[in-house]
Amino acid sequence: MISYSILAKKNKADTTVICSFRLLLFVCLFVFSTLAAAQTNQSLEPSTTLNQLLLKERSLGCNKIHNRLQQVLCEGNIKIGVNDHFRHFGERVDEKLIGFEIDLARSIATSLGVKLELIPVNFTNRTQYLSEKIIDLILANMTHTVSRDQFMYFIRPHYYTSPTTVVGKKTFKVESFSDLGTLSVCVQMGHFSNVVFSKNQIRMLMYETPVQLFDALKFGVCDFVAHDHPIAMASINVLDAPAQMGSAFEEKFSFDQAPWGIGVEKSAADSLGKAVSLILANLHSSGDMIKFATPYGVQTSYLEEAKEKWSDPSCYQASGELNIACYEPAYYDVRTKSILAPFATKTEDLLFNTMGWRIKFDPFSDQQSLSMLLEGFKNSVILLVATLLTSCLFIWVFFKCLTSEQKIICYSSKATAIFFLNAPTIFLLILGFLIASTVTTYSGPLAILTAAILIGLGEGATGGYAMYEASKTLGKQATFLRSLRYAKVRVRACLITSVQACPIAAFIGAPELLSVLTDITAISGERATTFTILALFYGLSVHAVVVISAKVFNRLSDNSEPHHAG
Amino acid sequence: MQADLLGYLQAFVVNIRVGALSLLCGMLAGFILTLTMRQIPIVAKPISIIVGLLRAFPIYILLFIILNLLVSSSLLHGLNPHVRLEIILILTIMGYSTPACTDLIGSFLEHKQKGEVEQSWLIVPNLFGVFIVTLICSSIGASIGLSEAITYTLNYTATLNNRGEIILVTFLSTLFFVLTLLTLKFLMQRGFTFLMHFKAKH
Repeated sequence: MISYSILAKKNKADTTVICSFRLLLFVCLFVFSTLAAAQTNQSLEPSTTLNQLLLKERSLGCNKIHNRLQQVLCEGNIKIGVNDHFRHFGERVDEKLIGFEIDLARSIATSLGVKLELIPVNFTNRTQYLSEKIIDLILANMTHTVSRDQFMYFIRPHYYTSPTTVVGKKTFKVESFSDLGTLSVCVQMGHFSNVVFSKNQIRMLMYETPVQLFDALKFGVCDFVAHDHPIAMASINVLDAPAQMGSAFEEKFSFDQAPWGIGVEKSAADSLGKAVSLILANLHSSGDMIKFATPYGVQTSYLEEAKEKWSDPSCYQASGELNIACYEPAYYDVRTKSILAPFATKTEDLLFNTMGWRIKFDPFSDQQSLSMLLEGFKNSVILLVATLLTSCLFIWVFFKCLTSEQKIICYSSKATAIFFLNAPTIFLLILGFLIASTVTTYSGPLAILTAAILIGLGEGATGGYAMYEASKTLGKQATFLRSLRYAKVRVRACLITSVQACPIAAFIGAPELLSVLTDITAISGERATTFTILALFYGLSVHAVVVISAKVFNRLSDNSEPHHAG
Repeated sequence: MQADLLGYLQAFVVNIRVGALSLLCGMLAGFILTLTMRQIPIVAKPISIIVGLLRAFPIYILLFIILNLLVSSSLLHGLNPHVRLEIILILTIMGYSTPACTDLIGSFLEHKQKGEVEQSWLIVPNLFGVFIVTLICSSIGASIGLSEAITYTLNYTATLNNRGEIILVTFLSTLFFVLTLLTLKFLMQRGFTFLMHFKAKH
């Protein structure tokens, strides 16, 4: 009984041991499988996913090309559009391209296992080069904006980010847009931030490349320059910047942080775009981006943040894909198409297909530009009419004052007329601007009114003085009409000159056509259309005044003839 | 203060240089155009149309068109930005001086042919009148960043805090322009009268 019970106890103990062993085995298997699963997740790093992608593409062979990545791999060569004039990012030194973006391009080519071909691009040709497949990627200080998303695919993560910085002379007390007044800011044509200057009614002077821009600053042609923060600061602050730049200029203010992205054709987003995306994530997480930036003195604060972000496993999916939640948004600059956009596009295509001319009708195809253009037309017409009216008014006023019998009025008006006769219109407008902005808050309509009055004063003085001289020749017979008829050539010239002087109003911020079209050009980068519109508008306006004034003065002579004869 | 005045005068020299060079280039272009019109009658009509268009076209718009055409062209590459802007401004003001000089040289040659010596000499004060206008026109260089008198004044006033002071400095600068032009006109008038008297005596 005892032995039985011992045996039974032993059997029970064995069963317990077996059960425990099974449980332990299950736990071990569970832990192992969990760890294995976790291990699987960790093993799919960007580099692993990239290798898998490259292996898959290579396995397709080169007989039939399915996508851009396969093409690049088969050709054994990647063509990357880079800057050759961006200090520290991509510049030519001793016939060799160097810089942060160049090192990044080199690393991309190495990661893909292909040769690198660097093709210098600029703002105006880079998109064209991409669409014409002259280049595979754009890596040229290109801000990723929502509007640019329409034309190409921006690879993320972004490789850099920067605000726009206004750099200027230390002597100027400028801290915001409102402090700029009549001072102009030199900008790069087509830069995304130009729209902000336009909204703040800041006068812009356009340059094509940053080299031209900072040369202009160095030689004193520009008092303020606006560009991406690292480029602006590299020109004045880094160790190898010319000493006189650092001592004379400083950062005034910055605005609008915007990301820089590598652009690829939309059709290549899932192939080449995906591969470069994985390369960028890997370069960020490994800290290689910081290594590329440091030797050139490029600020690394963003790159350090990106390193931290892309080192976090939560930024990767189990499949090895990047987690889009970690992506930064594009700079928001959405521009809606106008109702004229289809016609503009058709005309652009027609001109290109028939004549080979690549002309863009941006002022008509973009709603905001079209609205600005129409507003500019309206304001210019108002300015022209107002200037003609004030000129006529001041011709009469000056004539009356100059021919006044009261000596004080006569002499003081003579001195005033001589002052206005010899003062440059631009100086008069500045004086008007200063006085108007002292009396009241300066605005667009006020600028138009100020310009109309000041131009009218200048030309009115000339016309009035001509009539005064005519009245002296006519002697006692002199009346207003007779003097006008006698001096009609000079008076008519004054009216024509007043119309010719109207665009100078742009200098004091009047939102007329020149000012508006300069803004549109700065935003869109298209000059041929805008300046043709400008030339046509003012050319026709002057012609209209020439024809109308000729008719009016001829009629005046005809009507006065019998009276004169009598 | 002394340095500022000196700086202003140096900036004003830029205005005088641009004005004078615009006149000289305009005279040269005008002379060539007048001779071409006289020698080759077929081209007389197209030239007179071009001259007429130039005369009617607003200088300020022409400035921006030339600036945008030339700033990106390889023609002016490698030049100091100031020189580049001066060339652009001179070419722009030629839009005024060329038609004006074409007319003056045309009438000078006509008077000369007719043997009207005294009237032909009127070209001197008339050309001086053109110079006055080109000098005034040179002030538009401020809008493209040329370091001339207006740009200098604007830059100087940007360092001032008091609005009254800013207006006063701008007014004084304008007055300087006006007085300089009046002095030049007066000297020219006296000089021409003296020249005429001298010619009449001998």
